[in-house]
Amino acid sequence: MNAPIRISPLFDVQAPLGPKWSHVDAMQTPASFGSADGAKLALAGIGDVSFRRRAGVKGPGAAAALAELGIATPERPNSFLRMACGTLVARMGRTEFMVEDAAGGTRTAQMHAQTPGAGVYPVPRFDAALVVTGERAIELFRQSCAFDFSSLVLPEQPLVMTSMVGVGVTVVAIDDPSGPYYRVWCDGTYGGYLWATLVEVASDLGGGAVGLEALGRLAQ
Amino acid sequence: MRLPAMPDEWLDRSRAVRFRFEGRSFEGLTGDSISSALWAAGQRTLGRSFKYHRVRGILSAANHDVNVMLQDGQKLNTRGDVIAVREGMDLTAVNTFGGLAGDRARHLGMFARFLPVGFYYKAFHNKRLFPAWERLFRRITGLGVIDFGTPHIRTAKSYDFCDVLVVGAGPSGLAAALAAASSGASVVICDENARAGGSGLYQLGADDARRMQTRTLLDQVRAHPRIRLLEGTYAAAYYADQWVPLVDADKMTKMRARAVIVAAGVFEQPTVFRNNDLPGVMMGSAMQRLIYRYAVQPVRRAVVVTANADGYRVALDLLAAGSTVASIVDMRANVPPSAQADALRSRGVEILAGHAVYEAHANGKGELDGVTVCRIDGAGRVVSGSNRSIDCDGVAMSTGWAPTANLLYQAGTKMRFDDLLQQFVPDTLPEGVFACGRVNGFFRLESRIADGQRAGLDAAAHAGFGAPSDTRIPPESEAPSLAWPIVAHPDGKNFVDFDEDLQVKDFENAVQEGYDNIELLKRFSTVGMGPSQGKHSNMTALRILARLTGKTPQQVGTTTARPFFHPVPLSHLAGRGFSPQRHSPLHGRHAALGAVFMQAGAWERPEYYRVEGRSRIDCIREEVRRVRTAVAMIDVGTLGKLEVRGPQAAEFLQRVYTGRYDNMKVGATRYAVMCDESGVLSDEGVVARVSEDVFYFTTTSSGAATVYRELSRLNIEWKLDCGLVNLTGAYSAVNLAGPASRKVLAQLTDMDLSSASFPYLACRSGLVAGIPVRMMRVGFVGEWGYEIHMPAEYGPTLWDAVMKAGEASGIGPFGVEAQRLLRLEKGHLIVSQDTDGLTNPFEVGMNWAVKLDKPFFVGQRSLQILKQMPLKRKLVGFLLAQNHSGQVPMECHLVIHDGEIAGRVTSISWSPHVGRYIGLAFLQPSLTEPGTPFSIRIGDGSMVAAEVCATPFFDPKDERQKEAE
Repeated sequence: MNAPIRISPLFDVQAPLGPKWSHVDAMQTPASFGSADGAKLALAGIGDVSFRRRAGVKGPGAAAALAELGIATPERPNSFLRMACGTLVARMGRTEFMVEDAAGGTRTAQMHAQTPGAGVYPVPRFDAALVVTGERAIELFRQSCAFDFSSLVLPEQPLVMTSMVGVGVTVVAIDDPSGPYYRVWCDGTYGGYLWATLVEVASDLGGGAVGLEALGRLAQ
Repeated sequence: MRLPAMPDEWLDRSRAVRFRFEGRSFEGLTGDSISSALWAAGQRTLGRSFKYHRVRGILSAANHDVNVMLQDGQKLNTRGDVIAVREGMDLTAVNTFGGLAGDRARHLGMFARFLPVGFYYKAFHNKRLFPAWERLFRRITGLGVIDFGTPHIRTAKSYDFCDVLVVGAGPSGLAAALAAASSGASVVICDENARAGGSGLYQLGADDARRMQTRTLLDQVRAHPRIRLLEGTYAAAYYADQWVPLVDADKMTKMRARAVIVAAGVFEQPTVFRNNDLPGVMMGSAMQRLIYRYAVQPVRRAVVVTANADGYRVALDLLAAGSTVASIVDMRANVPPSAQADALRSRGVEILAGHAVYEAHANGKGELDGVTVCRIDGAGRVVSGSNRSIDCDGVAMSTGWAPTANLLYQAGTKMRFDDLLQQFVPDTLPEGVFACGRVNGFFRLESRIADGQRAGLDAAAHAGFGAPSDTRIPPESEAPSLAWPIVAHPDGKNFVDFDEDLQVKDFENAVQEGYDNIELLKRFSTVGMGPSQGKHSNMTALRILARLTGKTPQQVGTTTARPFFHPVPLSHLAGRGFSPQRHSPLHGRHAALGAVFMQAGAWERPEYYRVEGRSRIDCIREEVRRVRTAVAMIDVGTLGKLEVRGPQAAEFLQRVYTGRYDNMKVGATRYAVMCDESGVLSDEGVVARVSEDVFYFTTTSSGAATVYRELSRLNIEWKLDCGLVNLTGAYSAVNLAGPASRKVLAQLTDMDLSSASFPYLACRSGLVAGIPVRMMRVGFVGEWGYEIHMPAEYGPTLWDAVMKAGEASGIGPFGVEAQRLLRLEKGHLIVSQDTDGLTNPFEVGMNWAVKLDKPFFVGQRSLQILKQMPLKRKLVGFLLAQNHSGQVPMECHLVIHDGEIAGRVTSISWSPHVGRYIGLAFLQPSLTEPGTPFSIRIGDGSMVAAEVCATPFFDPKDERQKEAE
């Protein structure tokens, strides 16, 4: 039997826009929403990277369990790190972590295969995962969130858990040579609403939905 | 008359603006306010007063009064003094009957003696006549006409952040911003006016050096990299922790600052004399605004009534604008020596010390054409026989100010009345809030700037930048406000509140009636309750009350200042709608199948699936039929889905649910009831033991978040060796139900689905369509069925696979309404529909689910007590008559017995299986025996007969769970 198809939590709100699709890690994902993707990306782009596989773990034994698998963990709560293999490891609290594979990565599969030890509580994660880009990203957040993202010190690889358009989100700010961009995760059942609302606000700012082709390495 | 260009005027003289006012065409300049454009064109009558429909002109030329309140097409509440005139505007004055000039209500003033303050409280309380009076008053008192076809305007709403927020961009505010920014703070400075600079650019006394001081500050502010200047933006309120909503023409910005400096200045207050509301009588500062902002000569020949240095500057500015100053009427006994007074004397301007304007006179159009002045004694009383007339077309009132302290009050500032200044000033400021300039009691320009610098340094230091200031600003030596700017007149019409047409005698009457407290006076007289919210009237009212009651202003105190500072458009308040909407992973599948969605908390759920040509009820009944006779599937992904893991997981569940879970076998499920501390049934679900130390359990859809939050709290408190994980959004879930469900499922899995291997109420893990699932054999709808839980991202794939596998068996989806009926036939309750905020498990027949012999569980103590007490009500099943026709009772309709309320219906529906209407109802215990008849009162008051019956209505022995097909 073939591997079952994964469906992005954003599929229902993206499909009516008629994007060009691509398949990444068994998930249908918009490759492009049109020729304006690049321009939107530069101002306020909203991309979907829900296809990246994720797993969470919490509990007093969580950090040790990840270490057993060779997964590095950030030293401080509310921060993240990127492993050399591209795996993103987010530390949401003292004992709570989220691991996100790079495309084609297997770290989360190893986590699923691991029998949880004492004080280790696996947290299955099928979030809606967004990338927010562009020079007006801060303005986008200011219209959707009470947290001041401009106050983040990017080299510290900060992570923020806050509410955006009324939805609980986890956000990391990533320092990039092309300028800062943001990764946003939320419960997938709120994903369609969050995505559509952010795209609406971004549209007012000259941005909007962008596909993987425009995102390029920012989707990694 | 338009003046030559002023150095800081707001006009673009290259662009004329054509507009209409009251049906006549006018032309102004870009940058003009509506009022300034009209005034420049010689139009002096700009509105009608609220109560007596008196003609009114410009009073403040600012947003401190509403003499010029206009309707601009669909747009209401257009304030002519501050709204810029636009090409093509078609404006009408509000509150007229037949137009401004011919207003049919213009004679109402003649009946003023019959309309004293509070007359409506006394005259219109007759119950029978009240509706008629109400209609009359609504018709005659509206300020504009609402067009219900006005489009819904969506506005952005944003958050913003800064270290120091400065409210007010006059000289002190600008100085404060510069000082704070120079310390390293990021600063936002806002000003409600279209352009910054405040009074520093118009209260000049024809002294350009004063203007240049402010101009220099403004240029520095504009150039400073750490300062953002927001013009045309007002601070609408102050909320806790330096949270200030900033409102501009397009949107509201929620500004969070580390420190807030209020440099909002002062409102000029009218001098109170007879006919002080005639067009042509205006605040001195209004005349200065007209001159310097709009290059409009306010009047040709003016009388300046004053009691401070500002009035002398007004006179000098009028002379500079080419006006004649007929006289300075100074209400103080002596005129302090000053360069301004000398300059005026040298230009032949008469200064009358110890005088007042006794009354103003109108021409045939009701506009000012002269005044009578008189001498007053030290207490402000008119000296008889001292009257003298002066011809003039303008009176500048400049006798005092009131602090723009609204935000300071809202922030919790303790204010004190300064007897020298005759003004309330901040006494104790809350942490993080600062004040400077005239609102802080400093009026000389150099003092205002110095005070601004001090406040800027202090605020920056509070925000973590630099050190606070040690500067002390010398106090004022001259009062900017007169203690009693009021001139009595036997014929009244000496107005205090221009919004509400309140005269001095209205306050005297109110106090005589016993309303001698400032808050009571406000409510009885309505002073300060008009659209300008007391900006030009509260201080005078307070002075009158103080004098009438023999108190000091400090003793009288002020009324409560509440948000908002100016009215905020509802579209701004609403902003973009953020109403989080939750969709199950299967939402798209439901939509494609024609689902009609219903709102269930944050979720949108399929109520039923529409079939072309069929009614709603037929669609629902077909879905029910499919479940009972074939197979159907419902999305139950909205259920709360939690997992508790660890050696003490069973102990944890023992404590939070009423049942017993430590003795469950792995692979078993058990119904679970949760109560709160008072024994009220708060939630229910199913607990599955997945492994020795892992339990997976469901909650109600609406209770998921609350239950998880509460259980997380309890887990922290109890410190048990287990961890709780919320999987509600991570897992999708469906219930595949019906006689053919096993047959359909068998096509997709290698799991042993036999009754022996997978019995009723068992839980199994495996693969379905290659997707890892947890399955529970439950019977909520009364049929053989499987609740299948899977990772959310595979939900649609599994749904598609099951629907395809079930085609030959006639599979279809079923929605919430069908499920409600199916479970009702089975007699299963729905928490929060068949229970309420007081229901305990014993009332709904769940004694079996409550294990009082456990050592402890939440609500146990209360349930032990309740168990000893007789039931007050009981949930029972009921039937309507076999042949019932006519209206059907609805949920919440009352059961009536012996004329008293004896219960209520909680669920009711037509049951195809029973062939009758069935339902659940709370009844008093004496009525709960099966076969007992009772009556339900329906909406039209008639009674419907019903009869108690045993439940379930369908398959009472669970035979359906024993037979697969």
